[in-house]
Amino acid sequence: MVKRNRMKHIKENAVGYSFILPSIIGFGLFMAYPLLHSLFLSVMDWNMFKGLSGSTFVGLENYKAVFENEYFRAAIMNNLKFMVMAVPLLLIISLLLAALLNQKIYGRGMIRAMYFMPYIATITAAAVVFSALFHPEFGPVNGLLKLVGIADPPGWIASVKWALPTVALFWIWKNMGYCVVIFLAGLQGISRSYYEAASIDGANKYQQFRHITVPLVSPTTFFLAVTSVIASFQVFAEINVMTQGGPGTSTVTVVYHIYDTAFKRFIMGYASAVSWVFFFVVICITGLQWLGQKKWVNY
Amino acid sequence: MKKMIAFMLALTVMLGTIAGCSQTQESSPAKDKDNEVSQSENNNKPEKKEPIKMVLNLGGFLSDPSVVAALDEIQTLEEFSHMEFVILEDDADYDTKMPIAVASGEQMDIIGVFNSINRTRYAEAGTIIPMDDLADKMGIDFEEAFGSHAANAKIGDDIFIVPQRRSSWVLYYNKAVFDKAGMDYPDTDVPMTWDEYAALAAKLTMGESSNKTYGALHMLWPIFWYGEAIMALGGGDKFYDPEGLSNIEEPIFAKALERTYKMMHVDKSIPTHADMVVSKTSPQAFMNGQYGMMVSGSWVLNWSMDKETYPRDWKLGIAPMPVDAGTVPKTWGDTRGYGIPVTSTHPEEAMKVAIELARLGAKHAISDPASYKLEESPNLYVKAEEILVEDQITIDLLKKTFANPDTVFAVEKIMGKNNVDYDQVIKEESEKYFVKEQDLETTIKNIKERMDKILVK
Repeated sequence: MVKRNRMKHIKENAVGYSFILPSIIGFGLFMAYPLLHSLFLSVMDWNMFKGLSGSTFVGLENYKAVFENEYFRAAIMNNLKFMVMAVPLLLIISLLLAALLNQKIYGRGMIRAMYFMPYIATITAAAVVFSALFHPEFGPVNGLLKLVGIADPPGWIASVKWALPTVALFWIWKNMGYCVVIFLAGLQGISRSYYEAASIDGANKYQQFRHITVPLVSPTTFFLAVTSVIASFQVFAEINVMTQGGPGTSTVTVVYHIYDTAFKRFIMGYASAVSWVFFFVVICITGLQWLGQKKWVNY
Repeated sequence: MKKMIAFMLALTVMLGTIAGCSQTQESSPAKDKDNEVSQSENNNKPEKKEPIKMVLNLGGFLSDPSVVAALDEIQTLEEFSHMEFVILEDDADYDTKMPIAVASGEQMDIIGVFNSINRTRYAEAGTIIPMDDLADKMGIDFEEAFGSHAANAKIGDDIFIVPQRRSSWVLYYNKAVFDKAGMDYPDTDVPMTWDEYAALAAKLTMGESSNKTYGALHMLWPIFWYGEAIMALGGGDKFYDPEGLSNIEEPIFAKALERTYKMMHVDKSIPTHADMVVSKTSPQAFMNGQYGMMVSGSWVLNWSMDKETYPRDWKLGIAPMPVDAGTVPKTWGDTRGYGIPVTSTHPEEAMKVAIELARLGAKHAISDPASYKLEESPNLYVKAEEILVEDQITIDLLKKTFANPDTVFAVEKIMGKNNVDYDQVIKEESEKYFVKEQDLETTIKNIKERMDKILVK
């Protein structure tokens, strides 16, 4: 009887493991192994063409080089600026739009789809359109600014001052659709009775939004804040397509710097060290967000 | 948990074994018997070479008609009949994808190395192997076979590429733009100076916004501004002073930078840096007829011959490159060639193929003198004259412009220590100047300081 039970237990376990085996293999091969391998590379002066025989152990030299490197410093600053500019704006605009689209308005489905379109469009195509709109000389945006009396409008992606905000604007526009959809799901989980009660108490629309919507949607906001911060740190394709780090180093981000050093200059050890330093930076920021949630997230 | 780990390990071993088996050659008694029979038959025949696969990844070389013709012919030659040629298609991301493919161990026997910056990058990283021993085994004397181009095949004392050709830049111009502006065509014998060129570009500039015709087209490549300086100083090695530090404070660099800036923002005779960045204008844009002049290598000549891809209703003209001073023709360019990657499975055969491709490239050269000197180029410029008859571009004019023995040549890329960093620093600082975010003095100062810091390390 005991033996039969044990066999049954083993069988059940085997079935369970067989279900998760593809995921474990996938995770092991494509996540865990590359992660550990990059840690190994980060302490090596690694020659990607000669492998181990052409490489030497350098200990923490690559990590030292990371902190001494002017590009890394510029990149981490750009990433922080990008995060501060883009994430709050993305969340605020997305929440306001979601609140509007949560009302019974004509063509709601179509408008939702329109906002979602940039998110599913390819980055290259979207970036080309966006760049054309913001062309410093012939773009309609600057054309409009000149019409309203701004004689010397910004150079957008061709300006050291404006390039990063322009990429941030593009990133917001591109990711807004996704955030709106997630916020909508959060908003639809808020019971109408709160609003009805507030309305009876004489609260206007703004007060309802401020004191009911914002607190009750805060778990969704927290989720999007964490994922958006991480996504803002991972910004790469937008930079690669639109500015390639320029003008000067004004739009060099850490991921772009990793790509540049690893795949254009073949300095794999250093690039791996940057990846690990960056990993810890993102972990710390996410940790701070996690700690901070107690103050403003209402479950 | 232990069981699961054991199971995973067993699975890994099993998969490894399967993979290993798939790579071993099949052998069976029946097969062995067949081999014996075929071997006895072959004893009476001349020795047959073992069939091998030769993988070529030449990127943009494939848009060069002489390379395509060479590839077609080499596959018909008896000496290479035992080779199965796998020619990979051109890829827009060749610069990134090719090294990664090599690093991942993919077989590549010959690759295209486009310029001296890449030659340095690939050689220093170990992407391509030195060829000296292979050349010795073949008994080929590079100096004899490639003349002055042999020096451009080297990094230090080691040969790293088989030179295919050295680009030689000339001035192309759109006759319709000149006619419309009422300007005389550039002299085909006496070069103009860069100052005259800038003044001419301003006079050729007409119209507004999307209907604008620019006097000239300058790409974002730094050579378009520093070309005048290396022409005056003598080549890409003059970016360094005798102490091995940055020579960017040489006044000619500031002059060249300022001239380009004025063309962008004062004369508005070339598209601004901002416009070029945003619109991602390619060099092929010259073929659309909106630009009066463009300095370039022979690729523009190839495009002008390809009227199907680049249809045009205007006539092309060619003239010597503008010069810094005097009347002696000067030009710049760079040597490109075939490299043998570290993942070549047959480096000796690859070397033979590369040399043969260089020879056949010379044989089939139509728009650029080849680097290989031991083979005639009977078709050089012949086809160009036939196709460009309406443009009144003759063989004599082409020879005079592209292959004038009196032309002083300068290597266009930065040649020296940390040249990849130098190239990057120059790009970053000059573009800040071109988008009006930094003055000229600061630009020169920043390049000097940043590069000296790197060079003294």
